[in-house]
Amino acid sequence: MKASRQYKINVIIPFVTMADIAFLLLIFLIVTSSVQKNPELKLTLPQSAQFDKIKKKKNVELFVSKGGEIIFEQDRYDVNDLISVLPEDEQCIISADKETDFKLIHNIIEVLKNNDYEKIAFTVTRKADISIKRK
Amino acid sequence: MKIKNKFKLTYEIPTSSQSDIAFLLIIFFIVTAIFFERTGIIFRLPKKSSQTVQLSANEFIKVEAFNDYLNISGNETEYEGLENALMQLSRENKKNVAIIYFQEDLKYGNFIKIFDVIKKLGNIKISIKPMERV
Repeated sequence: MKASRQYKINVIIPFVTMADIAFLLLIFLIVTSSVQKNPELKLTLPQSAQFDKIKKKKNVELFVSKGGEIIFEQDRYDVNDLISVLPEDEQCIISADKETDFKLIHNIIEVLKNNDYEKIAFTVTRKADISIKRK
Repeated sequence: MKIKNKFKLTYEIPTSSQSDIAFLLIIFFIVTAIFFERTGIIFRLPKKSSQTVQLSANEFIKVEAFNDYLNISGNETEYEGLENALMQLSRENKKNVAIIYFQEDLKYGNFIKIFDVIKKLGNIKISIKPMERV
């Protein structure tokens, strides 16, 4: 008679390290998450069917409210004061309310042009393109 | 002789529930996180040193922008008809320059509507000017 083997492999998942893994994940999430720097402005952005993704690199960002307030790095400025405040950069993002007077935006564009900015990005919300595509 | 009290209170922080707390926090972070992707219309500005070019009337598309309607090379049109009107003009006359004259109280949202269509049409250079007061 053959004696049966009584070796049994016990598979145990080490739960002791679970807390460490969980905390590591938690720290990763906290460190990598970014806080949105938008000032406390309620902006209704215009819609557009044509849009590009704005790259996440450091950009100068201006917020323009419905009433014409220009906010740069949490401070309010006048168009004429922007020239002295804006740093040398390549791209500027303008987030403006759709009800803002375009005249003000045009003045900002002129300021940016005189400060040798190369690109301007107008932030928009996506609009579903329902128009007939060109043949 | 006094009998010694053998009861000792031991203080311990319960570590067994630590992983539960951590996972609950992770789930909270994942659920509340928003994938923030920004979209925008990007355009290049001319250089400060760039020279101005004079164009004759038949070399560009003239767009007069009002809040309620548009005037494209003399033809009044609604914002909805802008795409077709511009497409027709750029096809017929092969014009790749558009000059947008905007009314003083033009809303930014309406400008974006025009810009949206121009961008869709492709290689059209634009110039923006305020409308001259009559």
